[in-house]
Amino acid sequence: MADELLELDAGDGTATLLLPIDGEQAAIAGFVSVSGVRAWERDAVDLDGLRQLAVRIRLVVEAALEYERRRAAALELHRALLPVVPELADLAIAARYVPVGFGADVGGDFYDVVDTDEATFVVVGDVAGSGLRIAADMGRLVPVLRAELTRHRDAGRALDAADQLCFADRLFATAAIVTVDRDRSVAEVRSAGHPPPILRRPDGATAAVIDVGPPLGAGVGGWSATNELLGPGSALALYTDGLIARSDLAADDGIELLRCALDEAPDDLEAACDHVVDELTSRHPLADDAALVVIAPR
Amino acid sequence: MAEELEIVLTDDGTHLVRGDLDAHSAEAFEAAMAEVEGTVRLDLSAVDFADSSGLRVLLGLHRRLDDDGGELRIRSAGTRLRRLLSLTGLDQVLALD
Repeated sequence: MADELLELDAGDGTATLLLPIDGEQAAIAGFVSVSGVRAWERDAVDLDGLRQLAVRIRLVVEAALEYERRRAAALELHRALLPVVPELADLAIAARYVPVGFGADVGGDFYDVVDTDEATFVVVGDVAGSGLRIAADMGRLVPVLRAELTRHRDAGRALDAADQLCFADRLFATAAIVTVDRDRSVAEVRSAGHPPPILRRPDGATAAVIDVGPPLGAGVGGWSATNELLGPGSALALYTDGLIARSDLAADDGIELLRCALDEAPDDLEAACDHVVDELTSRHPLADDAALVVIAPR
Repeated sequence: MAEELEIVLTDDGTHLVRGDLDAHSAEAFEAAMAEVEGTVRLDLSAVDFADSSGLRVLLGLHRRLDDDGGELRIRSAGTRLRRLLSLTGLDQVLALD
């Protein structure tokens, strides 16, 4: 029974009243408890009030459980939409998706790697929104970029197509595409409202100075390319703003934290990714999901 | 916790926005601005933090007004928000006075 009141004799002349909180959909183990009730107070206890309290607690807990179920579903869908990063003989690639954790919305952070015989394209982007809807929006945007890159091998054209989709469907997204030539010596960066990649050379890491074009969905277009040399021992990190954005941190300070983390990161790319994620999440907890992709010629 | 978003219509017809423009407040901002039309002036100098959800509703408002022959003008924005608008290329889309 949902509101069966239990009465325990505390042995000191008082009683403890326990009203079980029973979940309808999920098992919730808990009681509303009133202790120290003396015999003459027993009839004055507001049982209806206690029952209402038990119902309220049940509703709150059930809402939280339902929220977590939805988040887990959105997260699973999100993970299923992210591609498996290919193993390339001459270009090492490590990628991470970093969810905020319990109780938060799933973000729209995505990455993709499209390897063609002309160049390898590395895409990192972020669709605005939250929940299951964001996964669906991502699920439409990522294949458009991939198809365009596969067919035309042109990052600017792929961003144009993505912008058209976002404009028509009223999505807001940012994305950066790095085109790595077959020699693995030049990385051409194009950014649609996306934060600048961090370039690590043997003598240190710097935030790439790039020309940032308008975001996807503005319908404005125009993404100029910036070329960065990828010498031996260099690496390039692409990320989404969840990694650097905190309410108590200016954007440039976030980029600087990331630059420092990459500067000190180990050479092995997988270890470098872990180091960067560790550094950026331990001191300032993430406010938003984040993606990180690091590439290095080998 | 994020502070509540507050929108005040000032005497000169500018919408003064105060608070964070983020995932928590984007819907409230969108709802509050759902009826505005024509040339809309936003004072964002009291917006300390914005994220992609906040920028999305700004772009959405710009597009809706623009489609109807109106205009969104951002009259004032703090250095932090200005930097964000420039990092996301939105300064090339939105009219910043």
